Amino acid sequence: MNVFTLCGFLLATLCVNLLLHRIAPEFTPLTVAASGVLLGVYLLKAFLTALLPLAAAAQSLGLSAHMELLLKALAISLACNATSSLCRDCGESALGEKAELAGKIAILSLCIPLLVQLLELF
Amino acid sequence: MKLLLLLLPLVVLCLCGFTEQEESIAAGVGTDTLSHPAVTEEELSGEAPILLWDKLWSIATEAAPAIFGDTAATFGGLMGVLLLCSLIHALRHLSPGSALTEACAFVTVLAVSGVVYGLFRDLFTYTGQALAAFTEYLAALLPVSSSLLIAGGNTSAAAASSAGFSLFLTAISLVCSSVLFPFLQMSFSVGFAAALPGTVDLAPVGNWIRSTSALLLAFLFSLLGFMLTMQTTVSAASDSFLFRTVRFASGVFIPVVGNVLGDAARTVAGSVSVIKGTVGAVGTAVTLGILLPPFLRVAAYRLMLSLCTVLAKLLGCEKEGQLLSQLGGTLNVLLGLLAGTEAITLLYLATFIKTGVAV
Repeated sequence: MNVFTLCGFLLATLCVNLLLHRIAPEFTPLTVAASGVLLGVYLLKAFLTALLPLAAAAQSLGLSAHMELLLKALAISLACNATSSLCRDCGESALGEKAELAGKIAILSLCIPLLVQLLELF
Repeated sequence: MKLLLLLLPLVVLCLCGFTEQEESIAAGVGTDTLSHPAVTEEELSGEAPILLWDKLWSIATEAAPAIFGDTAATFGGLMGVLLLCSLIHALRHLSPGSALTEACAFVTVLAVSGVVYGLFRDLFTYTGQALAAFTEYLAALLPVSSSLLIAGGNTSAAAASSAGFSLFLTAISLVCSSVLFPFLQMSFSVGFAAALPGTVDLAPVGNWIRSTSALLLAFLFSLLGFMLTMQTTVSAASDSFLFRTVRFASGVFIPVVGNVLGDAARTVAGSVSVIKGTVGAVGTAVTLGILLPPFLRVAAYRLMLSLCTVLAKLLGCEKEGQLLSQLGGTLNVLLGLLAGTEAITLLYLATFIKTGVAV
């Protein structure tokens, strides 16, 4: 992951946003969303590269289920958080809350198999 | 010079007789049933010396690579999970107060609990198996030690020490079968519930469970140790008194052979004390061989959990650190159980070696 590329990209997005804000303010959230998606994909690619050795180690130790759960929770949190922030930026805070609620339900439903497995051990 | 030449064969004959007597006593009390991988055949038969420090060192060095390899691998896995938890927490802090916050906290605590419970279950099973193997071996050693005490003239001491040690073995078996896993489950449940977001602080309850268990264990071991030592010492003193009385009476009231009988009894007691030394050393070596590897493993995991607790707190995973700290405390009780068992057994074996009639 190159942090300078990332910062350059964010500054370029900022410039585009500032220009668009004067010309066509209604398109600003769209550019933010697009830049967010691009940034997310770039970060995910970098993160996955770093995570692969860790995942292999977890699999050899029989911890892959726990890692998988945490990774899914992380992905859901990222997606819902980004969506919620975007909705709030556009002035739709109610929609943002719904996105967070959906994320909460998704994460809790992910926990159920592990919780059942843990309770069965007792 | 001629006298010396006449006496030398007599001494050699006496020594041969002494050795034969030792072998026959050893075979009679069943020392051949005490074989274990921790002692060699030569050591068991008394042909090779049992050097306990060397034994301790060799057991520790044999067990160490596997123990530290497993601990390091588990540490790596747990740290991987904690790193992911830290990432999720970092995300949580980006939007504080959102609905996702509690769900994220719940999922991280659950994942760490899942990892640690699997680890603890394996560790408690391993320790339980080691303690079961230990009680099984000591149950085989008990008749041999009692027979040797009886053969050496310590009849009351044999009855007292075997009764006390049987009680100790029963207590250990009971702890293995009925206390170990319920204790783990109780400690784990309280630790998990305390670490969940939005729950009341249950840490004092977990501390109370651990301190009560430690107190009960300490009381049990102190009581058993005191009882075992006192009973054996007092009954050994009365045995010595009885032995001296019988020797004196046989010397005074039985003409001609009375003194010979007394000398023969002294020779038997001497032979028995040699065998007792060997059996006691074998028992000590086997006790170390069985209980030292689980002790080292539990100690290594305890250190690893302490390190993980510190690192979890450094990474910002407060609740996970609290859970690890609570569960790490559970291992203190397990360490106490292993150390207490080892201490009582060594005390019993030391008393067994030391006990003998005063001839």
